Amino acid sequence: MILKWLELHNFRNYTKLLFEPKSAGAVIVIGNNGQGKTSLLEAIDYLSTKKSFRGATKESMIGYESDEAVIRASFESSHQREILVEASMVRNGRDRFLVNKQQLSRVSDINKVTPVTVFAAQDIEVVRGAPQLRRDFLDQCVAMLFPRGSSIISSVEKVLRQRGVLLKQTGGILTAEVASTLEVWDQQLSFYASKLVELRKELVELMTPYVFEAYRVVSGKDETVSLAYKCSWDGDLYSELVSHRREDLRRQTNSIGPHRDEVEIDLDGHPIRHNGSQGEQRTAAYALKIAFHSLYRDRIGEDPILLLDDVFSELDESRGEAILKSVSATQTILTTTGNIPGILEPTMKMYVKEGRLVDSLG
Amino acid sequence: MYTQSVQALIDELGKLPGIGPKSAQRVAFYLLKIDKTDALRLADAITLARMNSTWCRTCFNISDSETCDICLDLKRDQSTICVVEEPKDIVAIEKTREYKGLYHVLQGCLNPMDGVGPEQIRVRELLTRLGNETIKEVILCTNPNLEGEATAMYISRLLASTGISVTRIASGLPVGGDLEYADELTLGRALEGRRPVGP
Repeated sequence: MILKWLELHNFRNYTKLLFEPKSAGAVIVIGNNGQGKTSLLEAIDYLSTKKSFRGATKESMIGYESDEAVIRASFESSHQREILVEASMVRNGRDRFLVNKQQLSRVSDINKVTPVTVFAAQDIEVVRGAPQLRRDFLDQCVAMLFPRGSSIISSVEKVLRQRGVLLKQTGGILTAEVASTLEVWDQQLSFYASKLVELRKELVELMTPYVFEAYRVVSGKDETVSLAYKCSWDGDLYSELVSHRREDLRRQTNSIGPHRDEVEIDLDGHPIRHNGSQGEQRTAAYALKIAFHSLYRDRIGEDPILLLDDVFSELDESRGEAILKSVSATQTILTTTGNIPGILEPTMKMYVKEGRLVDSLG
Repeated sequence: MYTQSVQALIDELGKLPGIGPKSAQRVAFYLLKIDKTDALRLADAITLARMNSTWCRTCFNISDSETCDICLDLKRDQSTICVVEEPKDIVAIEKTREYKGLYHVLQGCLNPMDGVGPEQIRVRELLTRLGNETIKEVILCTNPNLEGEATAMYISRLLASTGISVTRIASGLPVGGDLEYADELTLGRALEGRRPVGP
């Protein structure tokens, strides 16, 4: 996948921008802090996910003095297919998202059109943060890799919401009436949840060798990273839901299910979340990203555009270079405040200053 | 900005499903522009339909008498009941001319988020009916979405011990369509529901 050109209107501090990486290779975007480097990557990623990888709201992505931000870009797939993606965010209105001038039938299909892999400083949270973040990462990968993934994920979310509301409505009392209604949602939940867990487990299994390899290359050490999917229940989910019914009613929440599962990441047999150093956690986070990037390329036959947001400032030079070596992409766009790893031979260098592309920082 | 009566009209139109403030305004101005008799005919149609329509006591379809025409029609198969969510679903099924049995309208589906449980839909009435009439088959024709499936499952469980045959409509590909245009979920369902062909 290649980004041919990108146009921004009133997106964050860019009033108007045309960015043309054109061809394969590495593009370096250099600028001081607060000039708009990350925003540029955020815009490219938005076209792939319809979200901000910084977790920003749409209001904060629309320029201060404007009511609408527009991102337009042309991509070229590995099969030389041209893909025009246009997105607009409207302050008090409905956003638009068009792929080759057509609306997508499902928003969740977006990341299958123009896949990108983003490396950013906050990736470390996936490793050391709450389990929710790891589940979200896993589900994002499931949705990209498996055709039925996104619809299963949204079905699970919907059943959990319905069941949660029902539990609250009962006032915590288990009558025969309540039991018979709960039963229906339990069955729906166990049906979709077991499908989701199946996909998550398959993903973990597929990713494990890639993560193992990526971690060794990046750390340069003979250490073993392993992933383990931990279900929040044993055996058949439906019968577990039935036996947890009283507890669920008392607490008025869904106490077991895929929303309580955990992916444990171990380094040499110890949970890296608790025992790993910051450097190890960061390396593991990047190893996860590299792993999915490579897995996606091998299975789908399209390699995502690689976006590296100032990752070299967080890592020592050898690890930074190892990342560049271990993740192969047709096109890489990376931002930096100045230091560029020696092994990188950029096809293009750009400078960003106050929301504009300039020839030099001078 | 508008006179009181016009504003009231816009407000009332805006309460209709699928009509936002802008559309309500457009419709209101249209109604003010057309012939008085045409506008009054619409008003009369609304009054008449609303005053004369009631729910069929048996199947809870829309009816202009205590029992609807379908329930009164003795030529229909009196041993089969098709359970649907809304009266408009009956219209859709009737258009096929494939079904000759009776109906039962639930007037909703199980949806805790909208505050709809078994008490809010006509399940109890269905059970009463099944006790009084000699029904051999119940076809569950609720929508193939999460809430519709849950409703179908709920009813099928209630009927499990009655000895009545309970069936669920198939879901799958639209006839005359192309495989390539089907979404993964529908195609997946269609594959699951495949059946043997040939003699």
